[in-house]
Amino acid sequence: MAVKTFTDNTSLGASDINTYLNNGGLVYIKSQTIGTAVSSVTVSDAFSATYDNYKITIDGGTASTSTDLRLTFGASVTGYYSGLVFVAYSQATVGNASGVGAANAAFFPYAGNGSSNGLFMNVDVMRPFAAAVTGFCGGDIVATTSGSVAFTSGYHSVAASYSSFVIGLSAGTITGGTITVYGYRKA
Amino acid sequence: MARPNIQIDDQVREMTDEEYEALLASGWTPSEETATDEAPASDDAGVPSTDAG
Repeated sequence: MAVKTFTDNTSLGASDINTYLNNGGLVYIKSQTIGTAVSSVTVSDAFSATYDNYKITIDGGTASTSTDLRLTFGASVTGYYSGLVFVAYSQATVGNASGVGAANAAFFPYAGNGSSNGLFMNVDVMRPFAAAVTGFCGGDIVATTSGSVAFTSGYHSVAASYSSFVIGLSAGTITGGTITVYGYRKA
Repeated sequence: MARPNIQIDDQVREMTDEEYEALLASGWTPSEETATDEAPASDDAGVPSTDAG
């Protein structure tokens, strides 16, 4: 979509309105404010037939202790295959990255991270609403001095349709922050 | 220790016994309140936790 510059008080035709107001790449779907001292947050009605692919972000808030943010779809707690490649911030010289995998797990274990410095998650989810396997990728942002730069990807092997997802934790509880869901516009 | 809360959309409530047992079975560990990011953490030494289900 080409960039177009409008001037004040320009009369806009329907074509321009449809193109430039509605045809953005990412379309806001919903947001969910995280409550107090929760260890699990379910976000319903996030996925639908309107979009194939989605972006989920979490920002703000705080965690009672450093924790991984886990991701599951609907009530499914099996068939999550993913891995994480990471390099510690403290690795000051060029070296190998480390990694860890998770086969047929109950969740994506490294979808995001939380600490007293806030909650961070930024992942893309591909085809969760289709009755097909679901793709997943994202950066696991660890906002602690002892953390890492980390990237994760994988897939959910259960070929079912999901309209909701659940954010879980590896430890402690989280408070505040916002979960936001966007859809990738198809046309 | 009191069970943590669970949130479903806008509703927040304490976990049931069954939900708490499932949470513990997932490898979740209770929180110890921390004031700084230097406290024990899942990402100590730059290594994310390896508690994948």
